[in-house]
Parts: sequence; C-alpha cells; structure tokens
Amino acid sequence: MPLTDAVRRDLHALPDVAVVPGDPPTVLPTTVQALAAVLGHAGDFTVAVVGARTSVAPGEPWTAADVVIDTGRLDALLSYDPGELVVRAQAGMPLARLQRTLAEHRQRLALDPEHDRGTLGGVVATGAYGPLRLRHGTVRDQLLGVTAVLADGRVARAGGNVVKNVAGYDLGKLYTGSLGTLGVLAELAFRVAPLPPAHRWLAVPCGLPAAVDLARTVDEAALEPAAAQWYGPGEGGGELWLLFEGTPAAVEDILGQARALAAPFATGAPRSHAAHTRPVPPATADTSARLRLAAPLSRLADLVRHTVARCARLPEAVWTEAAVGVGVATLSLPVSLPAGPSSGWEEALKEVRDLAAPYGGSVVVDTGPGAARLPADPWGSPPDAVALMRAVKDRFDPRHRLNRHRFLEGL
Amino acid sequence: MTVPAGRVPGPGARGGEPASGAAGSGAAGSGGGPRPREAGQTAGARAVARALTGVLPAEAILTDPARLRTYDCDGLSHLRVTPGLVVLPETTAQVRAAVLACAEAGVPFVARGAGTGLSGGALPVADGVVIALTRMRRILRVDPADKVAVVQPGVVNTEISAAARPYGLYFAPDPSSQTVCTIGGNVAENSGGAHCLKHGFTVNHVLAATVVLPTGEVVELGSQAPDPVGYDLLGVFVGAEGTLGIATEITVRLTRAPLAVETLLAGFPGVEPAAATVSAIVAAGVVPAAAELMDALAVEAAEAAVGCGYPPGAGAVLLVELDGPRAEVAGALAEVEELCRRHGAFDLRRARDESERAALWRGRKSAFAAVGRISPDYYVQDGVVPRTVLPEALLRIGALAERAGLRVANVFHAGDGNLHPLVLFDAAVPGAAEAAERLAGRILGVCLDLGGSITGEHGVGVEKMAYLAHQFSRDDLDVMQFLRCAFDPAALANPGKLFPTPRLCGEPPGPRRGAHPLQDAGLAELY
Repeated sequence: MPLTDAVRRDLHALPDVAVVPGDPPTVLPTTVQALAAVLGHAGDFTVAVVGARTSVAPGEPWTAADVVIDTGRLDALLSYDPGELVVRAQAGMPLARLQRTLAEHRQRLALDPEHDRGTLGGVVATGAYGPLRLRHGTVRDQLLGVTAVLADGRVARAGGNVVKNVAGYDLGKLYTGSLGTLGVLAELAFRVAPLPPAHRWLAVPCGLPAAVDLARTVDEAALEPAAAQWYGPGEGGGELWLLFEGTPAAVEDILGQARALAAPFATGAPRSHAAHTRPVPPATADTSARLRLAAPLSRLADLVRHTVARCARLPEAVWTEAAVGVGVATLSLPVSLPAGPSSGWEEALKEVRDLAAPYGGSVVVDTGPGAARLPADPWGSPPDAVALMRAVKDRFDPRHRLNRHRFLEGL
Repeated sequence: MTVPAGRVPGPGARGGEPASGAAGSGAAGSGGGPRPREAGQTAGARAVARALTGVLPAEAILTDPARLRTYDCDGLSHLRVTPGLVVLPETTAQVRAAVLACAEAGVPFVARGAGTGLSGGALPVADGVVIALTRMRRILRVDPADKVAVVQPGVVNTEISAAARPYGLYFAPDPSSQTVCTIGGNVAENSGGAHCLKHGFTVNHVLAATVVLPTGEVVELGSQAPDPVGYDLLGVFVGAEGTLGIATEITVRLTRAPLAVETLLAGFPGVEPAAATVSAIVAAGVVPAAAELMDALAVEAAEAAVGCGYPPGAGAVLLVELDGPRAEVAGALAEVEELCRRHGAFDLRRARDESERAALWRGRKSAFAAVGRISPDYYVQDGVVPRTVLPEALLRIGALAERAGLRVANVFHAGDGNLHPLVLFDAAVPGAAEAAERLAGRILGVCLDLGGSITGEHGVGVEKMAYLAHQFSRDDLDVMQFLRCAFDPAALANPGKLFPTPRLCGEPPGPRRGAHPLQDAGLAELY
C-alpha cells in the first residue's frame, strides 16, 4: 500500500529523525527513542531495516517496503572498559570502526565477516561470520545483550552487559540471523577478546577433500588453529589456509608442527605469511549469487562436490570458500550463469538439498547486491519447526510489517 | 553435589503449605488462604494418570504419596511441593504422551532431571505432573569425525565426556554438580561451570534437540549441521528453564581435549590483590580456562572439611587453570606466575600431574558443602558483577553481612565476575533464616547496582522471580512472554517459574474448559 501523505508529513515532523525523500522514503533516527517513535507511529506501513547494505541476504529486497529505516546514524559507542572485555555500541556503528577502537586497546571483536563496512546490527541480523568462527564461533556466541525496538515501537532489552548471565530469555539468540524480521536492533553488547600478539597463516596447496582430512589431523593434534579455510575454484586445486594465533614463540612452534603434519596432504610447498588479507575470488568470478552450504564436518566436501557438479556448468568458474573445521562453505557463482525460468535451477537445488537433508545440512541462496535473482527458492524445504517460527513471528510482529517476506516461508 | 543444607521443613510439610512466601507461586494457593478447588486439581492429576494407563508401563506412573514426596524439591530444598503425579518416561513417544495428557486435562507439568538445580526450577506444581527424565539415560551416538554426541536428557554430564574420551574429545560445560547433574537440566539452565570463561556455556555446545512442545507436538530444533535455516529457536530454548518444552534427545558438540593443562594455586594476603591479579591476567591478553577465588572463610571451611592444605594464613586463594597447545600454555603460565607475585602472592603451587591437579581443585570443589562444617545452615547465592568491580562488590557484601550480623563466605568464578556468596546462619535461631534470605537478596541488589546480573548460572527458577523485575522492565519481560506464548499458549510448562508475573496468552487453545487453574488461584491474569 502506498504511503499516505499524512504519514510522510508525520515522519518528517518527528524529532531526531532525518528523512531522505524517495519511494520508499528513508528515515534515519539518531536516537533509540526516535527509532521507537517511527515504529510506534499508528500508520499502517511496512518497514525495511537496513544498515550499510553490504549483506547479500536472501528474500524480498528492501525497496519493496513503504518506509526504509536506516540505522546508520545510531552509531554511538555506549561503553567500553577494556578490563571487562565487554563493549556496548549502537547497532548502526560499522564493525570496522568498532574494531579500530578495540585495537587501540589491543582487543578485538573476534568476528571477521567479509565486509567489515557492515553495521553491527547487520552483522547480528545476518548472523555473519568469517574464518575466525572455528575458534571463536559466530556473532551468536559473542552477543551478550541486546536492546531491540519491536514492530509496535516498544523498546525491550534482553541479556546484559556481563559475560555470564542467565536471567530471563536470551532473545539475542532469537534476533541473531533473523534478518530484522522480529525487531529493529538498536543497542548491542558484545564480549571482546584480547588481540593475539602474533598471527601466521600456513597456506597448503591441496584439494578440498584433502583439506578436510588435513584440518582433522591438525585438530586431532590439538594445535587449535584459529581458522581453517579452503579457497579455490570448484573443489579441485586450491589451498587450505590455517591460521595460528598467540605469542610469537608459540605461533612459530605450532606452525612448525602444522607444516610437518601438512606434508602428506600437500600438492606443493606450503607457504607461511602474516598477511591480514585472505584470498578473494578472482575478478572474473564476479558473482550473481552465492550458495551457502552447511553440513556435518565429514560430509562437507561431498556436498560441495555435488553442488559444484550440479549447479555450475563450468565448475572452474565457481569460487569456493570452505570452513572445513566448521562445516560451512560459500560457493560464488559467476554472472554468466543462465537464470531464465527454464534454466534448471530449481531441479539442481532440489537435488543437492535432498542430498543434504538426511544429515541436517542446508543449501541457501544469497543474492548478490543489485544482481538478478536466481529463479529459485532461496531456502529450500521449511524446517521442522516452521509452524513454531511462524507463531514467534506472529507474536513479535503481528502485522508482519518488519522486513516482510525477507525470511523463509514468507516470514 | 552442591545443595544448600537450607532449612528442612518439618515432617508435616506438604504441597500447598509452602515453607516460605517465595514458594507461593508454585503452590495452588497463596498467602495461606483456603486452598481452592482441591478436588478438581487432584482430579486433573488423576485424569492424566488414567490417560497414561496402558500407554506407559505401570511402574513408570507414580501415585503413591510417599513416592511422590521424594520429588517434592530440587537443590533449593527449603521449598517443597508434592506433585499430584510423577511419570518416568523412557522414550520421546512416552514424554509426548505424558505432555499430551497434561495438555488435554489442562494440568501443568514440570520436567526434572537429577534435581540438583539451586533455584527451584524443578519445584513441582501442587497437584501438577512431574515428568522425570532419569530413565532416559542412553548415549545414542558418539561421532568423532563430526565431533558430536547424541544423548538422551537423563545422561549425566560427565558420562558424555567419559564416552568421548577415547577419541580425545570431551563435553566442555562443567557445572560443579557435573558428576550427578543431567544434560537435560544443563540445557534447561544453560549451565556454565568453572571453565566457561574460555569454553562457553551449554548454549555454545548444543547443536540440536528433539523437543516435546507444551502442546504435545514434537519438533527438531537446530541441526547436527551448522546454520540450520530459520529462527534460532534452540538458542532461546537452552536456558529457558523448562518453560518452553522438554528436550528428549540432545545433540552436543564435542571439544578437542587440550594438549597441555596447567593449574596454579596462589595464596594472597586478601581478596583485593587476588581479584586485581585476575584483572591483570586478562588485561595481559591471557584468557585462562578458569580463574577461581575463595576468601579466608571459604578456605577455612574447605580446610575443615577435606584438609585441602591450602596456603596457611591466606586471606584469599586464587586457582588459575590454563589450557591449550604446549608452547602457548607455557608462555601464559610464566606470565600468570609473574603477575601473581607482583600482586603479593605467596606460596605459589603448580600441579605437576593429574593427582596434584585434583588436590589443588579439591578445596574449591568441596567449598559449598564444606561450609556445613563451620555453620549449621547456609544459603548459596549466585550473582554477577563486572569483573573490574569485584573488590568493591566484596566490600559492599561484607558491609551488608556485618549489618545483618551474619557471616558470608565467598567462593567465585573471578574470571567472569560470577559471585557465589554463601550466607551462613543457624536455622535454630528464630528469624535467622529470614535474615539470611534477606541478606542474600540484598547481595543481588549490589550486583544490579554495579551493572551485573541476578544470576550467572543457577537460573531464576522460583528463587529469583521477584528480582527479575529489578533487572528488566515490564516491556522487557512482556517481550520475553511473546516467546513463551508462542511455545506454550496454555502456560502449562513449568508455570510459576522465571517470570515474576505469570500471565496467560490470550488464546484458549485445546479442550480445556473454564478458567485456567493459575487464573483461579489468583496467580495469573489474562494477557
């Protein structure tokens, strides 16, 4: 339903809210109260919530809503005491800016998603993660407390600002990965970690199945890598990147052990380096879509192999990044992929999803920003608890006004 | 097992005669008034028993009052309520049958594991049903390649680690009751333990659960694979204190056992330098696996109970454990030793083998039970403060104790600011128990004042319901209720726990007729 002029006027009149005209108009609240006032407005309009717009999450695009709420000006640091290893910030703060602040005190949020330009709220809403997930988990494991504004403008906290706390329901878990469909994240508290004084990567040339075996060998030797990522085209030639962090002496010692363990798996000479960068898809592999694969550790290589074979006509054009110690992989598909209705995507995805289902795995389609959508259901078959998920959505957002249809099953 | 000795009610204590006002929420009546509708409620439990006859084996349905009374409390033993019925299912189907029977009769139920919880989370509802999961104690699968185990809820915490040990793996959460408490209870309470500073809580180690919802539906939450699609309902189910359903099969993540473990114990002249040492360790970038602190009174008790031989004359004892790859641990150990010395530590001891490690831990692990040696009764509190204000918190607790004329022994997880003050009292002295409870409550006030939490790991249960409203606003709690209502619209799963104002969800589902029992009892309002 198009936004009425009366609602537009009301939004313009709200204090502490900047409005960028357009269709849909974008509102930028600068305080939590202002955000609550926007959502508390009685008008019957739908809302899309955006941060820095860096994510490639599936579902309905944000432009389909009546009003876009941009959290970019809710970006204050609320409290940070390095001695506590806890930081609180507003949701619109970019992850990179928070990391710069923490780094001044030799600390970090142990979270390294692809885009650190993204906002903290976006990181939580998409459940983002990077290679450090192996050691530190996802944002789910580091979020301590959350203040959210519900669809009716109600401001509600859960969790707290201390690392240990079991009082009340931990709704931060529920908001994590919910793509903004249950509430608008306003303030977030995270546990942070000391920045290790030294870090070294060991890049071992090998195929994906060998990488899985090598990662397991390194794990069994209890060398505790911080990350174990396989990068390469398709699932053949590529490299396993193992990250070791700690004191300089310990890292050198462990790197030596890892190098020895890697020898039988390597197809070339392993290299070590201290670069903060990690391999990125070749420029030619500019993507139209990504497939996010998840499987138990022992099934990941198999699921990747089948997906590459089934979903890519030119396997060498697929860029794979696989967290082999975690059980997740991202396949970046080239723009040149056929995307018409008869391109066979539905069938191909169904086949690999059927393969993954018995062991609880999943294949989710992320759409590249601005790119054409794949003519396929991004999620696959609904999970067992879908009726319960719908009941939760109905309680939190009875009119389904927040990020409508962004989530699975039209939630 | 760490249960508070507490006050033991007289032989006549029964459900409906709560030992203290705090128990009123779990009982059918409140404030000592006449018990309403006793016959009807008993009929409810009887109806459930009838419905289950022939569905569950006869020996799995307990109706004998003497046997029912053995389920009348958990570790918060001064609150006792005899349930109307106890069932002992052995399969998910039997749990489902029991929950369905409760749903159809509109009778509340409480799931129970080993009953070691310290906040009354497993306290029965009078004339309600206790679903005890102690017969579901099979480890269904240990998979070293995927680093997971699939277990039934009645499996004891340490049994999982024992089954995983041959593969060099273990289950990381280690609540101090781990040799008796069950994984189902750990899931309900999101149990932590001494090592959660580095290794996280139960919620970080549970991947999936088969859950019988309060409506009787059976759903899978989470997945053995990472990133299951949909809302993370498992993440909120863990720690929901049994108010969202019953987990009947649990998939846990197994953790690689570290190559090296170092345990260090140091005596300090007082609590403050010991607490400052912990802050300095963390500031130096070392994340210990555990950092435990005991004050002089707690050490005295442990010495009397188990003769742990801790440094004589110490005003505080700090126990630090480090784990990880050898080179990493060796470096960190040197740093920790240096920081201890710099903060005035004396008598530094390092465990050279497993038996020495066990000896260093013995005093700490026995601390709760040990205070029984220096006091007839005690009350275990559980609160959290930001780590950097630990010394201030202890000063304020000391001042409160002095004003109340009571002694407080402090045992705590210093690494994460989780305090366990033990309030010592003698129940034989009139008013002492009440004074102890008041003091314990004021300690929670200190925790909230300092920006902490009313519970770090014991849960809210019935014990802390009233305090939850000090930590959260009405809106905060209402939004939490949205979740409960989505799972349990009829408010049958462990009602009267966790939330200070139990409310109904505005949807009269199922065949229940007439007013809800909670509403009748004046304990709930329509929502």
